[in-house]
Amino acid sequence: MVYLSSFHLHSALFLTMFIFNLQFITYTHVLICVSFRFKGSTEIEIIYLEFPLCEEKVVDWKGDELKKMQNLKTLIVKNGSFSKGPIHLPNSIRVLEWHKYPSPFVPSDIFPKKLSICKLQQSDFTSFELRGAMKVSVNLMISFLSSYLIIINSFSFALYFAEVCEYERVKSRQMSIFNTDT
Amino acid sequence: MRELNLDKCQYLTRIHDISNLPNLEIFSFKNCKNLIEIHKSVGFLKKLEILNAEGCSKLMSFPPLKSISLQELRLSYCESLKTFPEILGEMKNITRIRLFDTSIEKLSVSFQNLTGLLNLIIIGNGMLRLPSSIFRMPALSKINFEDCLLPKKNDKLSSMVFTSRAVDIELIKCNLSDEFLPILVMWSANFRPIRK
Repeated sequence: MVYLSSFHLHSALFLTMFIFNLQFITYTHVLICVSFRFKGSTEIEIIYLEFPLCEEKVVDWKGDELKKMQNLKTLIVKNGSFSKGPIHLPNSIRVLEWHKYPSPFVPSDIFPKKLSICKLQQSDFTSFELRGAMKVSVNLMISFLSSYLIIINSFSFALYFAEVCEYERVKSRQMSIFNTDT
Repeated sequence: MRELNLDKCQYLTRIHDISNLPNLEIFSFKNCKNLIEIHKSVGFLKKLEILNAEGCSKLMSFPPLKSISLQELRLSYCESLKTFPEILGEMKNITRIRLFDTSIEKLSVSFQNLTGLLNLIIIGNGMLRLPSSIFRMPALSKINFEDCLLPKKNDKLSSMVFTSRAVDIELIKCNLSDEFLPILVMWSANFRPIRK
């Protein structure tokens, strides 16, 4: 089961914004308080991104940003538009839920072997095949980032924090039945 | 992998071999409007419990099923589906089948292998001929047929022993004829109301 402390939550939110060039802030108007130094991407266990349906901007990214998150277990993306699909998914991922997955093919050679739940609704695949599902090469790297954000809207953060906690509560029940097989 | 969901992938035309996912329990690809082919490996997943293919409107055939753990099979709104999948061997964990708006014209003899079936609801297209064997399925207790064709009357049908435990049957627009009605009444010792 994934345990996410408040520290991890802060870290996850912060890094998420960092990856997507802070566009996350403009999309959701969630303004985050992080009053401590960020410890690194290896702390991240959950990323949850939900964009407003009315948002039409495209998140411009390289696609390999997730490579460094060696402890990322849950990745959920809803409603977002991305410039390309992920080039890497961490081997640690158990839950992948990505509505409108931004690639016309399944990343068959990078599918994590511990993946237990895979939801790729409304994606543009023409066929589905996992030829190399179990062949994952993980090049673990640790990156240290540092920065500070200032409290601007603590109320928004409190709401978001409550949502994440609720999500985690529900998801933890689901994840308690996970094991490491495929 | 335990769960795979490809719902509403509008360009998906083929599902290839997924035999490398032997632990799959839930597989859903509903409303994939252009799906035309499903690999036979989908029907041989031993741990599969839920298979949802609803709304795959171009799908004309479905591979045979031998998933002994299967509890839910959803094929409604597969408007081009002409045949119900063959059931290879006993599959007793499916308790309810609902078939709405398909092009299925016939239920195969192997349909009887769904020995745990309690509730069968079919809204046909006026072409689906029901086999008499349905009325002998041992666990079936609730039957709702609409716009279907009842079995053809013959001597075999008249002498058939009705073994279903059905207590509720509803036949709507099923060409229930005067000559078939006595047979149905004979079978229906345990039935609740019959609506013609």
